[in-house]
Amino acid sequence: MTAIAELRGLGMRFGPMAQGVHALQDIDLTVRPGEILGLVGESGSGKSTLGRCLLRLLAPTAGTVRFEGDDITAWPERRLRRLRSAMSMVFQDPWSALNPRMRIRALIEEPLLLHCALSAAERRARGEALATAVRISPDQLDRMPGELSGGQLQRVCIARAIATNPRLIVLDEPTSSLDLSVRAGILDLLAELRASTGSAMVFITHDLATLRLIADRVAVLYLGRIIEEGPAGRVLADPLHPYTQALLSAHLSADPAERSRRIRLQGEIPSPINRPPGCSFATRCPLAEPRCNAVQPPLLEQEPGHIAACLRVPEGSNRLVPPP
Amino acid sequence: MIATMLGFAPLARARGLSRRSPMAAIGVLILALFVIAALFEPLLTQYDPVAADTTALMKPPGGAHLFGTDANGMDVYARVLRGTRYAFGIAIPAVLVAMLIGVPVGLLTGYLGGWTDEVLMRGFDAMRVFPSIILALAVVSAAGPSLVNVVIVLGVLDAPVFARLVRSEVLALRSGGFVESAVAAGNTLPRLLFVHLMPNALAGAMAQSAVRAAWAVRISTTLAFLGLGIQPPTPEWGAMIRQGAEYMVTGQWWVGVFPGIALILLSLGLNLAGDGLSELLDPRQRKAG
Amino acid sequence: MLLTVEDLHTRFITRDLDDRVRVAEALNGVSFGVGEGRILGLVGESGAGKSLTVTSLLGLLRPPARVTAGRALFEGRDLLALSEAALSEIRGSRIGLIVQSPRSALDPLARIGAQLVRVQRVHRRISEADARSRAEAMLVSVGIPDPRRRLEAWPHELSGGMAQRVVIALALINEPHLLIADEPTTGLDVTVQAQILDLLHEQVRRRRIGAIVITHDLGVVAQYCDDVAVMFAGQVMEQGAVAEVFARPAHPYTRALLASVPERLVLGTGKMLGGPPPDLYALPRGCLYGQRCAHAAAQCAAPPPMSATQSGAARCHFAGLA
Repeated sequence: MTAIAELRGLGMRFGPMAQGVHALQDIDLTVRPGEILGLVGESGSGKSTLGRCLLRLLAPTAGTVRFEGDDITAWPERRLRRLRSAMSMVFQDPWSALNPRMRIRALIEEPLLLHCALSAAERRARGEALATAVRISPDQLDRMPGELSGGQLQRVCIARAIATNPRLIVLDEPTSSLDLSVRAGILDLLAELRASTGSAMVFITHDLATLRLIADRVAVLYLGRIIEEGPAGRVLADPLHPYTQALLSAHLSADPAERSRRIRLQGEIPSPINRPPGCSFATRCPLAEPRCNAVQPPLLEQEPGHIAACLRVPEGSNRLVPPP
Repeated sequence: MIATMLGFAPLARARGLSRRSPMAAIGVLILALFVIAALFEPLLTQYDPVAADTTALMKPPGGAHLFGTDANGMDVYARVLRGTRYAFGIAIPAVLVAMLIGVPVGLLTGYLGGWTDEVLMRGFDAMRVFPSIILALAVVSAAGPSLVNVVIVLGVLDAPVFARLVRSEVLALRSGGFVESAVAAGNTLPRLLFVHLMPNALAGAMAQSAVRAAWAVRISTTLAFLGLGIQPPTPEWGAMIRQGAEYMVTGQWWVGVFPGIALILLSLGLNLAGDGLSELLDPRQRKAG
Repeated sequence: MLLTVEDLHTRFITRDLDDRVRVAEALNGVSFGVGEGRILGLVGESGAGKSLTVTSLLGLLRPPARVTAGRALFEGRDLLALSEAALSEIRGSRIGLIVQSPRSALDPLARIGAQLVRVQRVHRRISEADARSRAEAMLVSVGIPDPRRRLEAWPHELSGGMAQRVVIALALINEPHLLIADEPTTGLDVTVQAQILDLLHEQVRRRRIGAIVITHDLGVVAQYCDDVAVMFAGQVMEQGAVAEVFARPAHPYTRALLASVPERLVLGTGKMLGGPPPDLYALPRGCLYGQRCAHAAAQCAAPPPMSATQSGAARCHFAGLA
């Protein structure tokens, strides 16, 4: 099975070379055809930067980006442009992701105009079919973005993203700025599109509960590194890394009867400017030992397809115990 | 319903504007009067502005000649009216030329940044170092004082203003938002600049256009006053003020004062309307609900 | 009841470019109560009027918004009838406010200590030294380590979680009787969010004060609130004790909201009830939720009254039957 997209040893630093800030370090990640890969992390984890590197909207400062086998790390934008029909992105904030001066119809048809040799009538018909697929009603096609609600705008963004049948769609927190009931509709649509288009999706989020609904595999980022990765069922049911365990238990259940026994983490994510030398989670980890501060733990396969970077996993002392 | 659509909607809108921004409403009113003067000049006076009348030299205002007559016996009122056409005829094309050069430069430098930005914007800065009137004088005296030359010189000199305005809006739009989404969709650079960025970056430039037109009117009349613009007896305000200046000391004030007042009024009208326009077009000042 | 809000109406009255008067009916009869020692979760989607309810109560509305009807009894006085001077006496002393963005709530040009001292001395006679030692004690009680050093810190030196703790300290330092928190954890990371909510919960319990927590997150309501009021289009659609309402939601909107949380969501059923809220400039005559309601019937053309349910009360013609 060939990979759709592959990151090897990817690193990204922002700012001047000497005191630049590492947003991403040593990222190895593979996106397989047709899968939904969940990328989870808090703010500052580098998850959005990672998504943009996958699509080469950003050029990484280290490592390689491959798309369907081609090393596209150093491709100029002119050359990437042809690839843009095979990859697309849905952004977090649908209010700002659409040109406010273009009609919805033109926005949906734009990828077709750029990449497909279609007549105006064919394009119009395809655009209307796309609108139907994302449940945008025909009378909304001639409106301006300012006249639509957030949920409708996100549907328009999704229509744009699937217009050219891309093999890879990166969705950067596509539901987090939307209201609860609208969010549900978007997730439902994505699940349906995944079945009908077969595109691989990278779903970036800070919400593990959403991934449980939709992801096949999950990668957890902390301070610019992947600290755990594996099948969604395994990672979410039996997280190995203490950070994943804490993140999972920090989720507030909407069921008042389920009084979650939360693992309380102390402190906050350290600034990437003064990153600790060893495990980046060691400053907050209740299980940290002196060696955790000294050695960068390697990402090791702990069970088939499930990797985690924690020194305490092999000895089986990686479980955080919630307070009684 | 139909009556509202035909007649009352603009009236209501004018009333809305006058409450929101009374100064802008005054500006628009002044401008409207000048536009009427430029369009319907032959209907507003019985005199030909360039017809000399040796029987009526230097008549003071009043009687048959509302603003009096000049040394050639030409009617000052008719000449002031006709001068409106020259004022607009220079200002509007000059602003268009300035936008035609400034807007693409602003789009390009704002979006690309880097050395393109450095080179083009530093070049424009260098232009701004000299007082524009000196540059205009130099170029017009070298190229010859024709209407076309004046328009081109004013347009080129004013291009940096539009470039700066557009560039700053592009800078704000460039990171994230629909520009990134347009790149992700695979837009070409020209399409990105002109289809996506331009319509969203033009508001500030449009709002400033009236104020820049006022500038163009002032500079072009100054050129004419200094004898480097349009030449007498063409009824251009600057040329008329120059003629009139000679008679100020001898008491025939009306020859120079009336075109002077027209110049000040038009400049005021353009500035007031321009300020009002920026308020209406500036999204930061527009509030929802 | 510590605070009783009855039939609060707020309107935005503007004129458009064509000089026509436009009225947005933003709050349409909001009623709820907050008991002592209890936390009320005010929940709803964007545009439902949650924050507007609070700004209306505290007299913080700016034109063109204005309260057009209603009462809000707090400590025996109607907040909506008080003068601006009397209200500003209450704000910050009897009622503490915690806003969404801690960064904007703190004065960037004053040290933390100076801000904590200032807010005390505005409202009561207290010496600088006493105010300072109380400030230090308050930082300890909101879980800020090394308080003496923190008093000298500038707001920009604090992390998001620390800044929100300082905002909570500012809201509590005058020992208010009621605490209002508007989306207190929205900008914070998931792991920090729990810390802040634990702190709020503990402070309300310990001080036996009332609190209103505005949120769009049903998890926050389920885990931290005692009572809940579900808002939609400027009305409270359902209210009651959290455990009861979550177990037996009576209003179709509450049911739709609860069905949308990730842990209860079932994808692929095709019956998603999300949609835009009604146009506040042209509200329907009857039930405001009618356009989105799966159970709308002929009765719904008339405005439904707030009727008692097993779990509290709901603004639905069929609430009693469910």
